[in-house]
Order: sequence, then structure tokens, then C-alpha cells
Amino acid sequence: MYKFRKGFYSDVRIEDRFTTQILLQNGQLHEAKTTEEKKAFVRVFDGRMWYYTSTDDANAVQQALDELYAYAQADENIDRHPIVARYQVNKDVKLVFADRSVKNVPFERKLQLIAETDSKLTSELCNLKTAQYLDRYSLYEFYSSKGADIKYDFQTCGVAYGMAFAYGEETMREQLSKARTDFDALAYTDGELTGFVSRCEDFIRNAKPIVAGSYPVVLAPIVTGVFAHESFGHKSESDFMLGDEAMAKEWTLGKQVASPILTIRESGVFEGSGYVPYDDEGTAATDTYLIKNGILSGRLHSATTAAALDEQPTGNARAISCDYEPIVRMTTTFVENGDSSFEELIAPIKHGYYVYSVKHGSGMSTFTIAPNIAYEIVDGKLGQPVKIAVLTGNVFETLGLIDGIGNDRQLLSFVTGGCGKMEQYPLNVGLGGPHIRVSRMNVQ
Amino acid sequence: MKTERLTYKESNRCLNVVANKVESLRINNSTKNTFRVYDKGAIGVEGSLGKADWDCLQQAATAKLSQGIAYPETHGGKRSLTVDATKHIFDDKDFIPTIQHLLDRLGAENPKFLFSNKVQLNGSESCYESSDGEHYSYKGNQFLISLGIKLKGSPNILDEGYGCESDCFDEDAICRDVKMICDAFLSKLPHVEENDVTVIGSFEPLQYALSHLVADMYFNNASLFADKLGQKIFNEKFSLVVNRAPSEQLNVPFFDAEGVVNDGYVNYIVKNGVLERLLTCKRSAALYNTANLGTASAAYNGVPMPGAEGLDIVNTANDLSELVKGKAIYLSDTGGGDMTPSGDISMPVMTAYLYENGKLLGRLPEFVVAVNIFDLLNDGFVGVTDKGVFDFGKQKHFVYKAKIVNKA
Repeated sequence: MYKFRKGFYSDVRIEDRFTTQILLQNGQLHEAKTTEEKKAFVRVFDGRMWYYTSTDDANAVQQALDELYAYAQADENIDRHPIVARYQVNKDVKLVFADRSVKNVPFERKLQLIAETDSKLTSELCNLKTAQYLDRYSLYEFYSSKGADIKYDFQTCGVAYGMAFAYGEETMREQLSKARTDFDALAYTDGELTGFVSRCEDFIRNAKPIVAGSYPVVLAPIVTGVFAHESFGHKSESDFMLGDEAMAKEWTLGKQVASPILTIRESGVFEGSGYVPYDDEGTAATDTYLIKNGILSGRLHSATTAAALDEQPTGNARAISCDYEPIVRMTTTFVENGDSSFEELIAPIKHGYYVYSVKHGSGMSTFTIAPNIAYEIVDGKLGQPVKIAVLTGNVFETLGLIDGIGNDRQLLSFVTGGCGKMEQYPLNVGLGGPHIRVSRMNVQ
Repeated sequence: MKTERLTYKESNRCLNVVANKVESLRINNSTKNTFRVYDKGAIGVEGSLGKADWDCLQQAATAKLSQGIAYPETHGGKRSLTVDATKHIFDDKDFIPTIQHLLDRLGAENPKFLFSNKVQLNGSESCYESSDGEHYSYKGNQFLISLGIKLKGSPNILDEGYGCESDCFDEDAICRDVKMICDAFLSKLPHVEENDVTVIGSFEPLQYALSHLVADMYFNNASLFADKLGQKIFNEKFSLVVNRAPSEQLNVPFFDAEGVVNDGYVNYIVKNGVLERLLTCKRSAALYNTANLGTASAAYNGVPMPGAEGLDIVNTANDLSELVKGKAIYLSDTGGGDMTPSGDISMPVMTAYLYENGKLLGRLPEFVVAVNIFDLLNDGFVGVTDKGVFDFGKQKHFVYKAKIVNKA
């Protein structure tokens, strides 16, 4: 295969990526393309520094490797380096999607799917509609100087129907979307479509402003997922601890960091947009409890961060494409089920809010969630729709304020958007959870 | 029939910084090619990576005309323009030692902090050619520094950030800027007593409203600014432009993805408070019979669409001291905010400083900025300048009046 030189650790990651993108705007075709790109990302480590390059020429990989070796200095003890020692030597072929690849679905069927659905989404309050079909089939190969030899595949496909509503001076946009690994699972029922439109029409006609303040809030499963991802998932990415011993002590495993009813898990084993059987360093997926019953139980690693903290890699070294180096990222992050029904979660709330859908979220010391559709909760029952710009709160304080967890966990995939970290956006991830109740959140 | 050929070559040298050390060097060189055919009201596009086979691309693009993607065929006169805006910033061999020297100095001058993330040298060459005889080529480069700043022992992923682009490297200026931030960060202040304040921020609040300026949104009654084209709806000092002038922008070609070159490289969206144009591409401009802004963007194998590269607010002052008399709040780290259907913006602020006379006096506790988009761009608009807080690079300061709520 490749001639890896002695005295260095080196690896080659190749992705052969097929994508389809179809866009209709008000029923007119605006984009219709399939893309096939084969790229390689090459890494060389000499024990002191990493050297990376990428190429879109499959015949130039060896040349790329050789050029990187020229920058580096050989180290005969490289195999004993704590980072290199942590690289797994997996040999595997794991082609889960090859026989049901979206590459084999005719383009006309993909177009027909969104055109027919789009024609059913009508509202007198909507003048602008978009309908998108997106898919991706990736075939990955990974080879390392330690002997790793892995081939695996990844697939997602999905639809996203956007509608912009206007009523008087008010405007809003909402999206109905679905992402799966199989094309045949992408259809909506007529009831789902009319339900979506009715909900949006009700919102724009009747949503009232709120009085900003601190209220009990119930989050829908997708919002729970965004909250888990933004509030704690990013804090579990161990690269932010590098070089900071005080930080590592602060994050000692076993510490109580959240309400004792909260458990957050992270794993690349689930089929969907967060499926990562091997990460971009060739490490096999693991199942990591980030928080178990409120206790800090694990964190996400690349080999570099694992070596720095004397732990083991978790299969979370990922890059958005073969243009970038892998860094510590999430795969599928979710809150585990509790035992309450939705009705039981809202029943004790005198005055609060239910967040049904979300535009985006972010999380540093303070997390933010920007809801799209939300409702008032009055005397334990759902009330009128309300206009909320953002929910915010201190991450650790809010994790301790979760006082109810539903029994209706959903794991969700996405084909639009994705996770952003530093220069790398968007990364395909999955997230989810059940409905959860937080006793107090800042609602603006 | 009309045809277009575009080539985009990119060269990137990127250093990853971990805890004050250069951890890696990444070298990326890439070429993307685009061929477009316009005929009988339709467009066909094909693209490739690496060395282009133009005959092959033309055949594939022509075949795609049958997809029936409607697109107007516009024609321009024969015109040729070449701009080489590259500046010498570093020799390749000096990049790593120069940046490591900077990091060593930042670490020594700010021992309570760790510095991470990216330092980049980016270069690009763009070329647009059409069968009408248009030929535009641009070459540019930039130095980009984006440092995450972390107080040692802090439970946060990051506590502060410093980032800007420039066509040069000035270690002393960067060190002065970073020292000012770090010193101010360590000096904790209580909340200001007032709730109605003057803030110095970035263009972030405008981003929430940007989609409402897209022609497709506007002409389909989905914009907050519906029916306001041609009307004065903002403060007369407020002018929003796309500016692709090579003297103003770094590493941005002076033409858009459809080969449009604006007079003086500038076109107005809002001029002295009047909404004059919308974000368009040639398709949406023709569809809605409105002026084309010249800001189309396109994937290398995709149909052009409206973009916003080069978006800028015209300066209203030479210096921050002309805009801020007395104290103001400098917003350093904001994020995750949004706007309601009525235009009410809430923007959580993680890091902010009290500002006076060109100095950051100290760090304020967390709060939320609340302002309505119409108020922000009318009575609330104070002005814009690119000189004020920092020494290195060009960093725009957007000064406006807002409420601060939810004081931590």
C-alpha cells in the first residue's frame, strides 16, 4: 500500500464521498447536483509536531506523505510515544450501507419525493417555500504506519421543507425535516404535513410576547438534545483541558455536576448522522457515559488528549472532511430516559413555557437556545403560543435544576446544519433525549 | 448561448496552537473549476477538482441544460481586469518560528492565561472568463490570527478570544492588544447601574436581520422590511454596502461568482437610511425585476445564489472617541442570540468590558443585550468606525444604544 517511513508515526485517511442536493423554491427547480469527491488526508508525527496535508489526487498520496516527512525529524522511539502507543491497530471491513446505497436510488425518485410532498404543503399565509433533498454516501479507508487497515461506510439522506409565513407585520420561518439512513423512510403522511402547517399558522396568528424573566421550562426531545450537546457535550471534549493541570483537577471523574436524575451518553455506534464506527484516527467507537446519575463519569478523547490525561481514546477524533485534521468532537449525544410522561412533566407548573422546536443553540459558560415555536404553560396545561428569542442560563447551575425527565427518548439525525467547532463546520452529529423539565431558566 | 469558466486556487498554511505551543502545520493547496452554460432560459453547471479538462466540463454542463433549471442569460461587454493584491507577509520557513516567538511572548506577558487555536496564512487566485469576452482575475492573501484565551483553571472551554485579519504581521501590536484584553479580564467590575447603555459591538445583531434583505424573502412577503424598498426606514447615518474593493478587503476577489464588478467595487443596500437594493443573484434580480447587487456566491459545481461576501457598514467616524463620549460597554464575546418574528433581538453576552477613552477598564458580569432591530438602526444607531480599541488589523466597531437585562 503506502511506504511509511521508520522513525515517524503516519496515517492516511481517504474518503470517497457521494452527495446529492436538490432544491425547489416555490416548486421551481433551483439546484440539482450530484457530487463525487475522493480526497485523502495525510498525517506525519515525529514526536514533537504534527504535519498534515490533503490531496484530491488519489495517485499523489505517497508523494504527499514523502513531502511531509521532509518537514519532520525522525525519532527511533516514536512507537513508545504516549500518543502513538494509544493508536489502535484495527483491521476491519464494515460496509453497512453498500447494498442500500443512496447512490443506487435514481435521481428522478429523489426529485419526485420532494416535489410531491412540497405540493401538499400549502397555506394562505405562506408565499415562499423551499424543498430540499440531501444525501451522502461515504466510503472511508484508513491506513497507519502501525498497521491499521480499515474500510467502512457511512450514509444519511433526508428532506427539509421550509416555509416562510407572514401575518400582518409578523414573519416567521419553520422547517419540517427528516433524516434517515434509508431513502424509503423519508416520506411524510398527509396528517403530518397538515399538522405542521396548522401549527405554524396558529403560531404566527396567535403567538404573544412574553415578559422576560425566570420560569420553569419543559424542553421537547430535540431541544433536550441540543441542550445536552451545547451545554455539556462540548465541555466533555477534552482538548480544552490540554496544558491546564488545574482544569484537569477541576474535572475529576466522580464529581457531582448535575441533578441526580440526569444521565448523558455519547456514542458513535447508533445508525444515523452521528454514526462513527471508527474515528478519523482509526479508533473504534465506544459508549461513553458523560454524566451518570448526576456524576461526572467520562469524557471524549482523541489519542492526543487521552495521552495528556492518561486515559484511553474514545473514538471521538473527527474531521468534517479530508481537508482538515481530526479534533475531539461528539458523535451522538443524548439524555437517557426518565420515568415521567409529558403530562406529568407539565402538571405541576403554574406558569412556565414549553419549547417545541429550536432554531439553534450554543454553549460556553452560558448556554443559549433560540426557540422557534414555544407555548405558555398555565396551571399544568399547554396554553397560547409565545414568542421567545432565547433561553439562557449558566451551564452547571441549569444542569442542577433539571427536576423531571420524560420516558419518550428520541435519537435524531439531521442532513441540514451540523455542529461547529473552531474552523470546522458543519460536522454530522446525532442528538436527542426525552422531554425534560428545568425548574428555572432565563427566558427572553 | 453564453458560457462561463471559473477557476479558484487556494493555498493555506495553518498552524494549530495548543497551550501556547505550535502543535501542527497543515498545508492545503487546492484548485476548483467551474463551467456554466446558459441557453434558452436555462443553466447547466459542472465542476471539478484539480487540473481542469475544460472540454469534458463543457460537455457535462451542456448536458445538464436538460435538467430545466431556469436561469436568465445575461450578456456583458468585452472587459478585462487583473488585480494582484498579494503582500509579502512571511517566508514559509519563517512562519513557525515567528509564531512560536509570538506565543512565547504572549505566555510570558500574560502568565495566567493559555492561548490556543489557529494562525493562518491564506492565499487565493480567482479567475472568471465568459464567452462575451469578460476576463477578470484576482490574486490575494491574508494573515489570520484566531486565538482562544483561557484563564488557567477556569471551568470554561474558553474565556476570551482575540482574532483579526491583516496583510501584515506586527508582533508588538498583537501583544499590546492581547495584554489589554487579559489585564481587563482580570479586573472584575460590578454591573453598571444603568440599564439603557451605549454598547460597542460587532455586526452580530445585523446578522439576524440579513435574511430579511434577501430578494426572495422580500418579494414573497416574508421580510420584516416588506414594501419598504426605496423608503427611508433607518437612521440617515446608516449605510450598508457590499464592498469588494481590493484596497478594503483581504483575499476577496473584486468580482462576484457571476463576474459582476460594481462601480468602484461598491454597491449600496442601504444608503443614508434608504433601503435601495436587496441581496440578489442574476436569477432573483431578473425574477423580481429588481437591481442586481453583485454578491452572488456559488459552489464550484452549483447554481449561483445570493451571497453576502464583502458586506460592510460605511464608517461614520474616524475614531471611536468621536462616537463614544464618556463610558460605554464593549461586547467581546457574544453568541447564540436571535430575533423574534417582531424584530426583538436578545443577545447573551459572555464577556464584556467597561470602556472609556480608548481603554478597557475592567470586566463586567454576564448579561443579555435586548434591542429591537428597527430601534437599533434608527434612534439607537450611534455609528461605525474601524479605529478604536485595538492596534492590530482592522476591526470594525458598531456602536448602538441598547438595554442590558438579565444581569447575572
